[in-house]
Amino acid sequence: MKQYLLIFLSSVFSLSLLAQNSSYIKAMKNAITMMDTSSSIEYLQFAANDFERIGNSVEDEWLPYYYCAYCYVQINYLIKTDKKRDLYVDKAVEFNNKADNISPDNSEIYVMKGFILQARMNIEPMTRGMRYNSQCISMFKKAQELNSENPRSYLWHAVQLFNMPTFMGGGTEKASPLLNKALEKYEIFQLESEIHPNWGLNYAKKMFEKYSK
Amino acid sequence: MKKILILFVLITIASITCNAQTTITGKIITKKGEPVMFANIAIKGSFDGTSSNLDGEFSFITSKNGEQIIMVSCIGYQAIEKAILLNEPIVQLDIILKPSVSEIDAVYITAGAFEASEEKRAVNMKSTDIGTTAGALGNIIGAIETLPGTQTVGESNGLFVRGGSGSESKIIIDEMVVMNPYYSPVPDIKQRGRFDPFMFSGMIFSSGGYSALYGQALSSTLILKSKGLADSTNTGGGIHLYGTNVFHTHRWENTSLYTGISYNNFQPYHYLFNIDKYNKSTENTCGKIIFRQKISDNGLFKFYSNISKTELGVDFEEISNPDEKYSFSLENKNLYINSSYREFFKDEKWSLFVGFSYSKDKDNAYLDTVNMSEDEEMMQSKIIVTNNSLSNVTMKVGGEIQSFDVSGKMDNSEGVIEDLFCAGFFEVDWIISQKLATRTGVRYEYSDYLLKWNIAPRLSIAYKVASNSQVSFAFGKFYQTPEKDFLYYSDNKYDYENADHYILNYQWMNNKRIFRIELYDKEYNDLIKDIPDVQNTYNNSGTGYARGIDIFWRDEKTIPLADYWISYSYLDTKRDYRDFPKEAVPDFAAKHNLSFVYKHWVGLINSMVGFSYSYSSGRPYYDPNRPENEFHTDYTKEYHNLDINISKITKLFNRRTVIYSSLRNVLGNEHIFGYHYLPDGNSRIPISPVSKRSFFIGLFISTY
Repeated sequence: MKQYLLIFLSSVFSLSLLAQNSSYIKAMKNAITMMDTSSSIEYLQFAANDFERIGNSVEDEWLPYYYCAYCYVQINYLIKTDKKRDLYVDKAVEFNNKADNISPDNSEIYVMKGFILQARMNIEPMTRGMRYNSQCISMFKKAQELNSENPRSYLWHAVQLFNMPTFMGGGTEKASPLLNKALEKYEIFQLESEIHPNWGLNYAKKMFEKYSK
Repeated sequence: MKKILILFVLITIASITCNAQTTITGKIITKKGEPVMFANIAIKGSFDGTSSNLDGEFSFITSKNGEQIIMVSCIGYQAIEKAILLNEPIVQLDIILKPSVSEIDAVYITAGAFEASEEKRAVNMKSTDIGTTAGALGNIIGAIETLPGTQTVGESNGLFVRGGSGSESKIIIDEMVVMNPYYSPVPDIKQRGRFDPFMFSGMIFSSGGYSALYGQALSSTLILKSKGLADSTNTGGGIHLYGTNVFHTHRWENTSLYTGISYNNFQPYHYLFNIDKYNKSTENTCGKIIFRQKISDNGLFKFYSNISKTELGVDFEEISNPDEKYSFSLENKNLYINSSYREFFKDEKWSLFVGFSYSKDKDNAYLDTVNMSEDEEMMQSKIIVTNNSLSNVTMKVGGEIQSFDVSGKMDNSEGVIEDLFCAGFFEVDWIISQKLATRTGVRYEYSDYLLKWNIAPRLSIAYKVASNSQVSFAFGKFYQTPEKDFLYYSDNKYDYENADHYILNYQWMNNKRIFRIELYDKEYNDLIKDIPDVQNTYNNSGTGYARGIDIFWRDEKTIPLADYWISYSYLDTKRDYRDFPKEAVPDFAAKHNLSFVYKHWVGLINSMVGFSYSYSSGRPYYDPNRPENEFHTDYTKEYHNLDINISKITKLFNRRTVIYSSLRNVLGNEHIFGYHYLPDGNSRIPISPVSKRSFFIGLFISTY
């Protein structure tokens, strides 16, 4: 009798876990779709809010916070008033750090760190360029070290070099090989699950078109 | 039995899964009733929630019921949590959010303070602005002298602020005071600061009313914050008209180490430009170590050490006979160590700072055949505990101990000063509302040498009058131990010299443009004064005042890729101190001061081109031919100076290279800072710079 009860209870328990897990995936997919298809501050903010809520309720998943950070970086680029942009970048840092705490030494999170620093630099390139450039590049290098198959680590490293003048160690000459490598890696990239990071390919192609001319 | 049990379990499960749903609907608003859009509304511990729309309205369905906690957050507002009872199909919920005081919109204390930073955004300057100002030549003090409230004094060391002398300003690095921030003084020749501006990430230049964390400066403090871990491994060096340097920085994961040496010798320069004032051109050798160790996530240990040796010799004209010269020679050895540890504890409610610094400075000088030597040693330790557990309140409490050991010799007479100086301080920063902020502090000091204590209150208030402008007020009392020249005569009993500051400031800041105007009044008391007719006896009966207006305008917006600022200061000051026969304007004070700094990035040649112009009205000088009641009534001629500089960024051997050149006093204006009179008053010689113009060119290369 006891046995039955135990089996029964444990199956109920695992079922509810499964249910929770599938609703997590579903919620994530919805938010990712909203993030991917919208280019307005409004919907990116909605997506960011969704990711934040998901992240808070599941606690040990890094992906919601990671995407949340991504949304805030994108909002920053859409905002016109300079002085508010830093606030959104601050938010991106906050959430990416949460992701980092849950999943340390994660290549994707290091790409995001560099991506955020790029955003920070972009607000005031003249005065921040010198300072953030090397930090930014070290993040991408670390991301490559952690997972040499991560195409985004090469793509954003390349973007950084394209945007930096040659006297600061940038330039097309140095960036192009990295961009090619990124495209190669995108070809063979194995997506871990349907909600894992899978962005940047279109941008990489655009960059390739722009600089291969 | 079995059946009943299964039935019971099934019912339980059903009741868990098929419970009633609740719709929560409402509006998020501010206190004033304005809608808050894009707020995030969530039920704690579940996916359930939504965002508010453009009108601040929201609605969502939840399967939770009973008592739940609802969380609302939005960028720019303080997040809140609220208990809510879900027992009806529709629950109405309106929530009021309070704006959070963000760094950008916040009201902040500006009276008396100019801040430069890399990290903070609501500042007047960026750290890099300091190093790239024309004429400053990488000398921090040179750049500060383009800010309002300062005075260009070309013949002696120190920052002269608002009618204060050079010794009334202190330089503080990582919370600790620097005993010898400048190269040793040479009569009539201003010396450079010892510190490279690029080693700092932040700076607060206070022209009055500064924080209770610091003391012993009647007029001003320049508070510098050194950089943290080095960004990356880097090797480099430079060669310039005055010398050469090499350095290597190594960066590990949590550690960085910089080692560098530099050697300067002005002989080629003096030869090339025919400067014959020196009988021994300045020669300087310097070694530097900067070590950083990350101890924990938010804990950093810093160590800085600088050791240097300088030699030089100067010929001065004999006033009575211009063909004859007398010589001055100086050898200086200096060691400086500054180490500190700062930790932000978990959840950043508490932080701790512990610092230790050591300074040793040996001067050995000859004025003709008269030997003068001075040996100074200082140790300082400081502790600061910061608490942030109340929102919008930051409390700082701490103390410091400084021990001085100074001995001076001149020919056969000798003086020794030993002092153990202690201070304690407490300061509260309270952001009362988005519009109103206060800083209240008190500082206690005791000097073992003077056997006297003092208590100095400090207060600053800032009020935001409009979204881009604010008014601040500061008051403070400031004490300083009399200069060591007087302390040598230890049979005199002294008290601290002191000054009261009253500052009223208005600041407007919008879109890369800043306008500031500041009115101040500084009342000096207990200044050192000669007792007439008895040599080397002094008391504290001197007084003085300084009043004026400082105006600052900076614009980084109007001209693309250009940045300029204008500072103007009006100063009304008089003192009756030292050997003054009556109240008079001191010889370092000019009534009008103006600076104009312009920088332009020229992309075509990858260069930053800049110039700076400064003007001062004449300063009084002492003419012994005048009767006592006409003391300091003669004025030097006006001071005009134009400096230009170009720094070109390029690549050499595929390495990042900067070529820097500057020319001081382009127009060749004559600079006279005062006169030396022969005791009989018949002849005089002007005090002016060693050369009319000065030129610098250098090439700096690094692997990163």
